[in-house]
Amino acid sequence: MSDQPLFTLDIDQNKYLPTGGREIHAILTVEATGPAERVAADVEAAEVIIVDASGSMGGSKIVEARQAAQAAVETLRDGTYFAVVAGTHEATKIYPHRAGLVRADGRTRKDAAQALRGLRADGGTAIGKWLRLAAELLADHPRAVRHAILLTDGQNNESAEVFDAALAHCAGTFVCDSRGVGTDWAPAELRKVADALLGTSGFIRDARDLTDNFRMMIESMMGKAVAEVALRVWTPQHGRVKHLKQVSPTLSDLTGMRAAADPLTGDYPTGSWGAETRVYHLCVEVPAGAVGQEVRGAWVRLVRPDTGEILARGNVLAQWTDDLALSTRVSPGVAHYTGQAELFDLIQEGLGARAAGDLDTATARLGRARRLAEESGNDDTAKLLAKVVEIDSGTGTARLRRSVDKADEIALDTGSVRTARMRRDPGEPGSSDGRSPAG
Amino acid sequence: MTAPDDAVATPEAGVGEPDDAVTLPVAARRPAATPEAGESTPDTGDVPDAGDTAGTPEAGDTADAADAADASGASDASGVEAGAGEACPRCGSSVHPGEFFCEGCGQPLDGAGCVRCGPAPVDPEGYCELCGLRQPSESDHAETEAGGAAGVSDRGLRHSRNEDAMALVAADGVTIGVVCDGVSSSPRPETASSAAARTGATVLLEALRSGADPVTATRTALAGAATAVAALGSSVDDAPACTYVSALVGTDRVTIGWAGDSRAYWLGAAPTPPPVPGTDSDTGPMPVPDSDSDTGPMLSPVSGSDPGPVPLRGPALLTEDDVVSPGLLSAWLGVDAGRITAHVGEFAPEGPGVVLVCSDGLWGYLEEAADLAPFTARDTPLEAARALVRHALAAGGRDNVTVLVIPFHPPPV
Repeated sequence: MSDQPLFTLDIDQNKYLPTGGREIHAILTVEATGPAERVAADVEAAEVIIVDASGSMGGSKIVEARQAAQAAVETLRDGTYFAVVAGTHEATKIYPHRAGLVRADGRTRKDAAQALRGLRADGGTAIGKWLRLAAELLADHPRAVRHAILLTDGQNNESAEVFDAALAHCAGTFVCDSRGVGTDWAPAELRKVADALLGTSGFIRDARDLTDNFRMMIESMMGKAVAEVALRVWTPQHGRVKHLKQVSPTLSDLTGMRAAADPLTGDYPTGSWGAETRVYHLCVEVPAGAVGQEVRGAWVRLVRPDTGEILARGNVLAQWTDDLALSTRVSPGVAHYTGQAELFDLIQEGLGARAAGDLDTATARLGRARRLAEESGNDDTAKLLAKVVEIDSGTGTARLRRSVDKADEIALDTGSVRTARMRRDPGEPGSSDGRSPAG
Repeated sequence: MTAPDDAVATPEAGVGEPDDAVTLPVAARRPAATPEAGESTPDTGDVPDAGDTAGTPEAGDTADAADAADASGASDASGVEAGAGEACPRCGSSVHPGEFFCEGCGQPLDGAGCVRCGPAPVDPEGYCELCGLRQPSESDHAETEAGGAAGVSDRGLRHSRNEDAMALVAADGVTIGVVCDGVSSSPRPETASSAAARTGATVLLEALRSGADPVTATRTALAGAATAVAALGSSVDDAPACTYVSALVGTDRVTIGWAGDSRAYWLGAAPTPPPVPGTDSDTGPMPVPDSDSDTGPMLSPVSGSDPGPVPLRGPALLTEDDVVSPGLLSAWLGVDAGRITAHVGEFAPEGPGVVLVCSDGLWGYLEEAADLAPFTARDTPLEAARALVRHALAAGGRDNVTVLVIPFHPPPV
């Protein structure tokens, strides 16, 4: 396929290191533009819709879940392979009735809706099993954009070992977007699914919003034009990748997903791509060099593993200087996204301390988080924080709210992975009256 | 000694000859390949068409101002085609046996690999594939000579690459020197300086040949260089930028044009006369018969009334830095530069001497004209330029340093 989105890789860093400095930070902005939507229509796609049918889903939730799954099926493009799985302590494919996936058309959509009407709530929750079945079903379509939607309302009944093993088994075989409904599920569990399977996790506060949400997830998936893209990172001998994190639109740590391509090079999966922009924070460690020397600290390439095609490339450089004015400057991108990662940590620590009854720590962390969210332009997170922690406008003192809606807490926990895009500072070079010294 | 190397004119050979010698970057060759003065003299003398790239048959046939101006470190008019048929392993350009940098891609030859880890291969961008070290390139130290003039450009000790560029052309009885300093806060500054120096020298010679007076030609050249640099940037956020200074040294006058903080000095050979009461010290900046014309890339030069050349005697600074405050430029070439004010000054030396054109990598260490003068008083221009660069390196070499030394000989009375 010659027609595909155009990928660009932009690298923002301060290459100057002080004498003896070894650590280089860079913000990598990957943007896919161009004919993504048109191309996506020609791309094979495979979808598994997993609906929690455990006992806790009874009542209106199972009704809303049925409708949402039906809306998802209706949104599938003709020709997409799909299946619907009911998740309890087992994983049961409720459609199609024959083996494997089925192509979406008028008849299969109607049959799937019929099968969904028979969905009953009963039994436990075994998310690992659900994902393993999805992996098995999607394995028949190795060249497709492979995706699953997972809906749950409860905590996983599996042990951490069993759950982790299932995630490891599924990693790299499909992308999964998961959603929690109600207030009895664990955001950390779905965050693990999102991290391992390169998708998103989210909170559906009102079950009536399920249908719209499912439809949007399918629409987004139908826009994927490239099934898999990897970040290929070369580091020099005696150097290493200290961490590689996605930092926008959400936080996700890719460091542990490295697959060695050669002794100096590792591939990090990023999942499927439509027309979108994602930002990564790369930190590499290199042996210290002499003042005046420049090294390539990392050579970053964006590669399609299926074809080996290099989509974009760029250098992360390091140059040693004894000029402190140069080496102490932090690139605006690195500063911003380091702040967003800190914001996530503060919220997680604050919520953890609050749950453990350590209210002093919770107040300190969440108060700082709220200020940081406001300063960095992360308005969504600032609003979520405001439901949990209030700040006295006179004294600036942070105080935990006495009664916090459980749903607000979950919304904050889930939303803490969302980062703000960096605002372009009008005072940046290029608009100033003078230029810094030549040479 | 092989034919192309004979093209390198020594200062001795150039002086008094038909001033046609546009020369090769000496640094692109092994020291052993540097020709003797005696060998080059006949060749340069035989080339009839002033402005040729001396001694290179292919270039000689087609030489025009563009070829002639390619005398800077990034020369491509250097006759590599005449080599023994070897090819650069990276870009395929033909390579002469005496060279250790490829003139096509600028990378080290010999398959020597990395200067630090030895046998490891170096990728086309110039980084070692094992340790990542950026390899030294041809422009790290370049030397050039043309006519009786010479220039040296060096990376310095604190920068990883040389973002300065120079061009030196001797033709039609005049010598043209251009020095440009890439703005290090701009992207790809070395492309800006290289384009500006090459274009400036080329356009200046073309303008003179089409009948322009020195001031107009200098303005036209600066505008041409500005256009060339602006074309390298896609937007104000992606704008390679550099400074610019040109010196046109003729038989009766010296014409300087500049934007930015690269400088030109007059270093008179005659002893400094006692100051005339009521005038400024000779060592201060000269009054600049400035043009207020805007030579932004889109503008053609505005011809103003010619105030006549300023007389020159003892050592003097001929340019005024375009700076907002120390280190912050108020004028540069680049797509983000807005309207550029081209400064042009015309001077009439009252005796022999040299015009020194340099980047701030030199004058940052040696600023006073009177302090620069001793370097050029005794040595040949090439030796003087080398000595000045050595001085800057010994003083710290914090920046790229580029020096052109262009002799001025008044016509015999």
